Amino acid sequence: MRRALVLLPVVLVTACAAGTNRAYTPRDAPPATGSASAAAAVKAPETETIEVGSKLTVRVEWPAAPDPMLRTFTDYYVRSWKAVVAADDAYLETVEGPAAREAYAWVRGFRGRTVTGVATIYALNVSAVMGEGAQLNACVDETGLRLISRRTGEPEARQPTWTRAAYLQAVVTHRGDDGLWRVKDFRHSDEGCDR
Amino acid sequence: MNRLISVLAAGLLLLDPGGPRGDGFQDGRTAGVRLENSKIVITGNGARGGSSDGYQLKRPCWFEPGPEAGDMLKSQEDVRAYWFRMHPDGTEAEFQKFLAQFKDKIGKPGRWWVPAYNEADPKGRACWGGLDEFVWVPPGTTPPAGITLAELAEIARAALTVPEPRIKLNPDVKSYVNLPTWVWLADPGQTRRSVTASIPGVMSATVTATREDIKIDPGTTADRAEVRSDCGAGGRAYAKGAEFTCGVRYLRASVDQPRKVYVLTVTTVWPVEVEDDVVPFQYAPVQVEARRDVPVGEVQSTVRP
Repeated sequence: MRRALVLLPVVLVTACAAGTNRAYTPRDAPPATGSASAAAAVKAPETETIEVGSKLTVRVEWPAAPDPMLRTFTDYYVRSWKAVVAADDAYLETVEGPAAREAYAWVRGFRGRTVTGVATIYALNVSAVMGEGAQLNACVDETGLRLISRRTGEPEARQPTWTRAAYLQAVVTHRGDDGLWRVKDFRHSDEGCDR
Repeated sequence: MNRLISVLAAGLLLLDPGGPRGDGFQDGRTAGVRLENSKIVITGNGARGGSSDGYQLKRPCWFEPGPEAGDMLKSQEDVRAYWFRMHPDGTEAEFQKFLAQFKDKIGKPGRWWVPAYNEADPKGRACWGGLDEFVWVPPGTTPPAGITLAELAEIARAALTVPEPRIKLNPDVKSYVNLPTWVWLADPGQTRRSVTASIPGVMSATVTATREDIKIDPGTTADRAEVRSDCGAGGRAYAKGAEFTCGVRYLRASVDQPRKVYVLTVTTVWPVEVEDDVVPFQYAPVQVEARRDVPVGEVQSTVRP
């Protein structure tokens, strides 16, 4: 019950947050989320490079014939970094429910800091789909990133643990009445992404 | 609680920003019950200390009764500051419009229902993801995907475990062609296991499994082994001079088998009933098996003229 009380407010608040829809297409990306052309555009494994800022790049290693639903993951991921490096709140349009509060806290945690380098997403897959819900999994390699102090412009002396090993990030997604998929919750594992 | 700690760490303490989101999880979820966002209570001697047979819920997520209208409204009013953070361009009028859906329910009969799911099911999270965050339910009705008594019984059935059988044999280490190999269970333990799933103050369902039988698979074909199946609930322990009714008489040596043994399997069979017939549904028995290697030799005899 305590958990429900903690989460419910977030759920309700963010349901509204998702109400404003602004189309977002990362530079050099295949077409927008959920469109049939997205699947047609990427039929063989390929690597997409997305410049999030002048010093931050996200590489996405798409599987062969990726499910368009996987865009929900990458869109959120790219936008969350854009929020960190450029204070762009567009990531709030890609999240709802418990994920909204967590995503907000995640971005807010970077206050006074930014990142540079290259992050790589690989092994994207749709783990399960049921009705208007789904779970998407992906490996996230952020070992090529460095946490930078905005005050000094220099790397922080103490770099976070996630700069040392890849991890498995799962997202639970929900298709709203508007037909758009949004991230509703997160899970992660330290295992399953060695390569 | 883990989530609260991680959010605090990321949002307030400002240690190690970034990194993985959400609680940790492990793959390999296949069976059993681990409830998330749920008020359902699972009790009973069958809920722990045994093996599940892998029973899966037909639908691993559902709505269940949640907050009263007043509590829900208060929880929403309490996140006012947070709402405006999440809506940088939001106005007071928009916030009041958001609250209206909760104010509207004050004084009306009914309550809010909220989604829950079985984290142990591989599709549990995806299923939960597809449900709305809350739904208003008038008294005496159940919303689409709202939990029913039948589903509560199903949750109890999925949580049901039974003891893993441990096989005893006589002879124990090695048997011989045509020699009766007696089979029974060591420490058979409880013969009744029950699990109750309840939503306190709303409804509950109990399922009970009773061990009634064991099945023996000799690990080879009928022309090589003869099975005696009058075993009762726990097999027949060897007793000198007693009639051989439960076990295997191997007719051929196992020397030509992989690893030179027969692999004998004993399965305990636990028919399941729903107490008080609260739902008219028959579940398949819980069946749990154990294996033992049985080397079978030939007795060498020398006939002297």
